[in-house]
Amino acid sequence: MNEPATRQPPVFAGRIGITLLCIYLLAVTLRIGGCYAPDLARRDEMPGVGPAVGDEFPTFKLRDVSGIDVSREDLGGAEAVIVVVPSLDWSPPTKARLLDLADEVAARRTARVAVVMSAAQATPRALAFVRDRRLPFYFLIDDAGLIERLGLGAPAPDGTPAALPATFVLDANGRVRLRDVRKNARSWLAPPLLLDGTATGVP
Amino acid sequence: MPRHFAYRLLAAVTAFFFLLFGLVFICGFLDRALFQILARPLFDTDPWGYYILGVAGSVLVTWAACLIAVVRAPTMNPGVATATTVGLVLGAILRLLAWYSGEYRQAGDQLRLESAVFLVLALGFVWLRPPRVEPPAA
Repeated sequence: MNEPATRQPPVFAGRIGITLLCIYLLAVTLRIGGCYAPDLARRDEMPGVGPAVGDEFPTFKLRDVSGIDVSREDLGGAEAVIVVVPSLDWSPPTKARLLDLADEVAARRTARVAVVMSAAQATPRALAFVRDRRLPFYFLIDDAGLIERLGLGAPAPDGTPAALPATFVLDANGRVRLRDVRKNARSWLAPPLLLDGTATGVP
Repeated sequence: MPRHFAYRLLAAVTAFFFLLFGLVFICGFLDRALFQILARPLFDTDPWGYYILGVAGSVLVTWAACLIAVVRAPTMNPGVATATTVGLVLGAILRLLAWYSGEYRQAGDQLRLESAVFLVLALGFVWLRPPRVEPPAA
């Protein structure tokens, strides 16, 4: 007994669906570059917070993830960069910011860099990032209230203490030569401008 | 001009690059795991990374072989185009997520560029694929 041959209909719905998905992803591909990026101008979105340009940076003594104690004096004698970060766990832009900075510092080998994070943000994933990347920075865990003293405290999305993203460049005497404080981590001052001291923007 | 020229060209170009990268990955694995001929390794990773590299290279070579079958008989292997589309879209999504994670900052915008190329190729495989040829009724 011969059955009539069944002809499959063309799968237009599948084609259109995958086309829409591809177009959406292409749009994301083009737009995603704008979700975080280095900035070519300095910003100071919270001018009343932290030491001003020309002020002495507060003294501190914090423990590095390797277990050694690091103080502001240990960073002295040369240009130093203090980078306050919200998190190295849940903040992709912060990771990108540090990797950008690491490239620039490795190329110049002039500045000492200390990354300060809240003790609550020293999570296993953050410590794994630090351990795996072997960045040429001190990674200081703030369990002494430095972030609060600077006025940079901010809650993380899960409510734990974190920090606003901020960068301070200190001269050899520990005075602030440049500061860049932002309300969110989606942009950061481009490292070449940071280390050259040629950043423009808010004085 | 041969039939389905654009589709065959697309499959051929894709197969060429998959074959090229597949062989490079396999060479990278063989060089580090067995022979250590090159003064500097092709890829900066650890022994498990080289193993994964070898596996990925094998998959790419296999994929290229499937695409070569498409070049030879474009109407007889519609499933290869579907699988290639799925693979390319998945690859594009993974690259977007990798870019967003911040962990691959040193790659710059390369991941985004690769993602865009994959998506354009996927669209090509969707719309250039010739209609299925039904087997003759018994």
